[in-house]
Amino acid sequence: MKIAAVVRQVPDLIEPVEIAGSEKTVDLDGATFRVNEADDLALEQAILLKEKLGGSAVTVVALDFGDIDNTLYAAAAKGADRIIKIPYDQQQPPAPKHAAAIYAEAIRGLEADLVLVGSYAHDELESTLAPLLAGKLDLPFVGVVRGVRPSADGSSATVFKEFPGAAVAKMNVKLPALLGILSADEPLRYVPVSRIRAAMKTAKIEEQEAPVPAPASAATIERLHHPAAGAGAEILKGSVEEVAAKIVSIFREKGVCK
Amino acid sequence: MLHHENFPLLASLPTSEKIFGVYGAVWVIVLTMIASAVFAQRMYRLLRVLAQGRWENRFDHPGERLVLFLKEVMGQSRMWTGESIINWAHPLIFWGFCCFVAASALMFTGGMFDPFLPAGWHVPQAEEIPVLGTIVDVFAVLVFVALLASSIRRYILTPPGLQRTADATIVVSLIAALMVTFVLSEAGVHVREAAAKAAGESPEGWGQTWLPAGAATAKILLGLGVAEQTVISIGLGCWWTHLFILLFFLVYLPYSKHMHLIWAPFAVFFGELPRKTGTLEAPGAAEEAGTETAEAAEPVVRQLGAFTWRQLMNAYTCAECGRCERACPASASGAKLSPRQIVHDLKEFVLKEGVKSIGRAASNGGGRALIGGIVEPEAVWACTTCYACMERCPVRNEHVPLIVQMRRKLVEQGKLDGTLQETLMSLQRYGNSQGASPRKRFDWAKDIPHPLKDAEKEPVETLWFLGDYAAYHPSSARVSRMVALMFQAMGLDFGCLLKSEKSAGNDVRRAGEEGLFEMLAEQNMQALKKARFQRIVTTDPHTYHTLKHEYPRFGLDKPVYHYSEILDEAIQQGRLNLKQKVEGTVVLHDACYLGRYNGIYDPPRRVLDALGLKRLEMPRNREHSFCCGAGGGKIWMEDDESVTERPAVNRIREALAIDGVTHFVVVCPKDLGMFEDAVKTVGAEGRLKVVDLGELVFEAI
Amino acid sequence: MSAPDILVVAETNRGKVADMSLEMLGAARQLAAGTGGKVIAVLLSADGSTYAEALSAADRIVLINDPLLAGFSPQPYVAALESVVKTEGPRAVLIGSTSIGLDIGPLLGAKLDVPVINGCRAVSVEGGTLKVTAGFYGGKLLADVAIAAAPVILLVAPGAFRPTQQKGAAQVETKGSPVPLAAGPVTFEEMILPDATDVDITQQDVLVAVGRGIQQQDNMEVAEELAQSLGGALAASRPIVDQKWLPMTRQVGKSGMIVKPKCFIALGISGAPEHVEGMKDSGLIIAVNTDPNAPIFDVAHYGVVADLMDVAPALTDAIKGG
Repeated sequence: MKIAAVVRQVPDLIEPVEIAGSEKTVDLDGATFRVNEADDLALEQAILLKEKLGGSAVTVVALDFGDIDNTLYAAAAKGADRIIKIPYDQQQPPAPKHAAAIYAEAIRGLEADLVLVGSYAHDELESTLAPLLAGKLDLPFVGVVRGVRPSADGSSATVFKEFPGAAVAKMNVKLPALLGILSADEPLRYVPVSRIRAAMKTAKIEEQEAPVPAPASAATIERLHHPAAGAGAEILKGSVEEVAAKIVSIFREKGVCK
Repeated sequence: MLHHENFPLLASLPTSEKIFGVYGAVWVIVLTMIASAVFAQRMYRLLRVLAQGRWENRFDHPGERLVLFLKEVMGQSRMWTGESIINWAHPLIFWGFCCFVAASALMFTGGMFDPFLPAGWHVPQAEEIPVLGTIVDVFAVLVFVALLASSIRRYILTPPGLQRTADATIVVSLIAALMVTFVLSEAGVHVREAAAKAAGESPEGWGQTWLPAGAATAKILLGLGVAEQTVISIGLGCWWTHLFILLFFLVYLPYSKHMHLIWAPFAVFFGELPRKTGTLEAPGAAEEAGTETAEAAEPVVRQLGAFTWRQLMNAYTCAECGRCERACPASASGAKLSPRQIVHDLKEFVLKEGVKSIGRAASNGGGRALIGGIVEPEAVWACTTCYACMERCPVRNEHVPLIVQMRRKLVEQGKLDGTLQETLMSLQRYGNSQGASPRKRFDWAKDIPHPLKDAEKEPVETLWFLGDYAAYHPSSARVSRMVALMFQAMGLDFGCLLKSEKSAGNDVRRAGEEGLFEMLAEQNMQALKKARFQRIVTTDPHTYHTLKHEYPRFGLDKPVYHYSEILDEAIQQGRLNLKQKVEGTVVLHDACYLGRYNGIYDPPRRVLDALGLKRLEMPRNREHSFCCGAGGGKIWMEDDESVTERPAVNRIREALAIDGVTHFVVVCPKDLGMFEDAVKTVGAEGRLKVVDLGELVFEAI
Repeated sequence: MSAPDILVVAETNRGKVADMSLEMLGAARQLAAGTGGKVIAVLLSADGSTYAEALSAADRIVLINDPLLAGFSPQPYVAALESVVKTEGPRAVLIGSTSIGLDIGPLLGAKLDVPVINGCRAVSVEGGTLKVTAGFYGGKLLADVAIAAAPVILLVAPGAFRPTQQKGAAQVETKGSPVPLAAGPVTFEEMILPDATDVDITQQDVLVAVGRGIQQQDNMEVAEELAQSLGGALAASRPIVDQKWLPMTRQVGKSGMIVKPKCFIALGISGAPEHVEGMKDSGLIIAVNTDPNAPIFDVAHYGVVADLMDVAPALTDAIKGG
């Protein structure tokens, strides 16, 4: 089975998000980047499928943005067969509609049976990549997926789509298809640094051009701002016993306990 | 070969008689050759298995190694402390063994060649040589008594970890038999010579060697009414029995745990040098990522190759005494780790699969894999790398490097628990184990009046390398602030790598993620090379250890100190004005990486004494200190389900049992958090205060 | 020239109209007041008749019934909606940020070639322009967006709007799909519901939830005791369930359950938006966390900056002792 996975770099939320002076874009100058967790899980799902099905190959496609080289080598260390980087020189990441067009250019030729993309990325404001990419590639789509089981003959796959209230819908998808991945069958595997470094020596990042101009958007960002720090909680101070006593009296007041 | 007349006691050795038509000597020669061949073949195989191990240079500093050998093997120095009965019994048995080696060599040489020597020539036997004979004779009794005492210890007292195996029983019985047969054969000769003397045939020099045991035994037997001829016959029979037991031993030895007596001298000689205590070796080029997923798929030869030759030697050297297990905090807490079991499992693997694998070319063994199979991952992950096992081991087995090597394998295979994985990812991404922003590493110093100097921007005399816990953990960060103020108060010219410091990686390395350790070291070295400083100080013993011993490999060439040494020095030089009186009765907890690993016991004690505190000692102190349980990455892992009492709790209970103690003093940021939690668990918050050394000094200034 | 109407794509969840849909009707009311249009609720199902009453906040309720709409599948849903939107020509289409909405919203947007805005939490009309405030970057950033074109698809954040009390004209139209539907390559087989034998945390009055701050599985005992002392149940944020320390039925948040107990005690939970979504409407929220900057303190009523291993046992004692 030929599997393709898209991996994005997103600004790391461990640092505060800075807004540019214009108040219309995010200031990414001092930002640190990390792999988008949902994409990491999509990759994990791809590798798991490769390990379960003989004769499969995984191709990882990514935009040259953020700290992508490290992510690609880590992907190779996990077992990806090809790692492809699309040149991109903008400071801001592409909006999902633009990204979908770019990735579609790069992936079309792969003739993948299954394309896996993370269900969300926190920097997406207008629409999300996975369904748009499916549209551009003219592939069937289902998102918010937490498990994939291809059929024996590879013509379809059973997917588990998450629903609220800890429910899961079992669905059948004819392949080729694109899936929006929320989580994989197994949690993320650990890749030791030594393997990533070994991959840096043996794996080669292929470059694939996909020059697609950014489409216009009918929505205009007027202003970016941080949420107002709300009134927030009343912080209870004192020794642990004092605090516990205060809480119990609040409980009594509100009828939580006697 | 000396003149027969001068050594007449044994005149003609029993082997000069013919047995079944052949000289006894010929029997002995033939049997000795056969036994030696079997022994040699087995030893050859064992050596070939050793050769499958990776290379490690243990040939450096031969002079120091020789001293170690003399002290620990010949002097038995590690046996004297720690455990009763065996502390005198084993040295006696060993020294007795040394004497008997001499005696047996003479016995065999004489037994094989004496009948063929020209007249007048004779190989003297130990019993004929003055002083030596007496010593051997006395040792026969001493060894026997020691065996009795150690058997009582093994079979009746049975300390945990000491096994009552068939092997042990056989060995003890055989050695006892050797002693008994020796003394009885002496008795027989004694009676024979006495009879000869009585018959007026006394050769010259008879009785020149005083053999008290032999003589006493003869007297007792005769006294019991045993006929003289019978005693002589018993003696003769025992002489042959003694010889056969020795031959049997030669063959049995390399199949028994008793071969430690061959390997231990080498193990100690090639052991870890004291100056390099706890320094791990680098595994060399990363192995090709294997495609094996099943545990048993890796060829045995490759599995052996994961270890160095010296690590494989642990398998042969281990005498299964169990001292390591009895010292281990993980074992004590109920975790699945027994250091003895790990070495034993290695032994099983090496002796079964290893020996099999060199028989046929590239055979797979087909048995269970060592790492993850025979040795369960839980056991491997339970170790805190506290070094108590290695500090005690009389044959210098290297449990910690073995475990680290096994962890390296498990990490490579991705078999680590979720919390550890998260921590390692945090270290990969952010250079700290706390999942925190690296930009917040020095937030603890935000509000000190004189801001910290950036050692990468201006030269400083002392570089203070904090470490994750001193920077991020709330209690330890509080202490760091006090230490910063103290350093400023004593006029220390110091700075930190404010922009670039990352975890030094000591516990990353011990958790088996060698690649990540190298990456952190390289990143730290980039900053260290840019910064200008004369020496490094740290409050964290783990950081101390790796910077001092493992960073030189990456180019660090400045001395490293623990802050207790700096404080000690400052107090002695009067640069710290200890004007306030500090009250309290304190005990010091010797941190593993400061004490056992680096021998720093006194500076913190001197500092505490200088503060005028009443200082008591923990029962388990100095090199016997009991680990808090955080090291080796354990602080980053989920708790073992089988743990009944966490090591830190065990240690706090020990402190609470000391009358009048008010403060439990630590010198390590991890210890601080671990013991604060333990005090809460035990419910002793009012009674015992866990406090860092720096806090007390801060109170005093 | 589009009508000023606002279309709401309603959803059902286990036999009931989802709370999300009622919230969207509230948002739609706000917008409609600004555009001067009507609120139209659209429900796709195999038999929507039973849900009409619940959607009475709308002016028009359009029930599209077709057997192929019984279980969710993107293609027939999008095809049906596309046709409805083309027919009605609304100013905005409101879709919930649910596992269905997150699929059909973008797909519909691509089909119609109209903008789709994620995470909408405030809406208004100024002049003739429709404006929304959308949250992204894990809730750390808000964008005020103006959309001139019509229609615009707004993916609405759960809990951002209150359901409206106002009743609409509630005109019901039931019809079959305006276009023939094909099953498509994605078919719904069955819904796997969670283990019914475990505690239903949505029915509890008191929940004690643990997050990453609990650190060790053993430590959960302390939270369990607290829960028991209050007659409540143990719940968790996603990382705990990922570790398999508690089953999914105890997960509070976007991926788990939405709960509104009388009292919600968050122990060692940082307050990530996906979790907060699940509990922010709780009656009384008490948060315990060692990090004073943890976002959970923004949504909690009372907070304690301390180690949960200290606070929880003390609280249990105080409850039992008092």
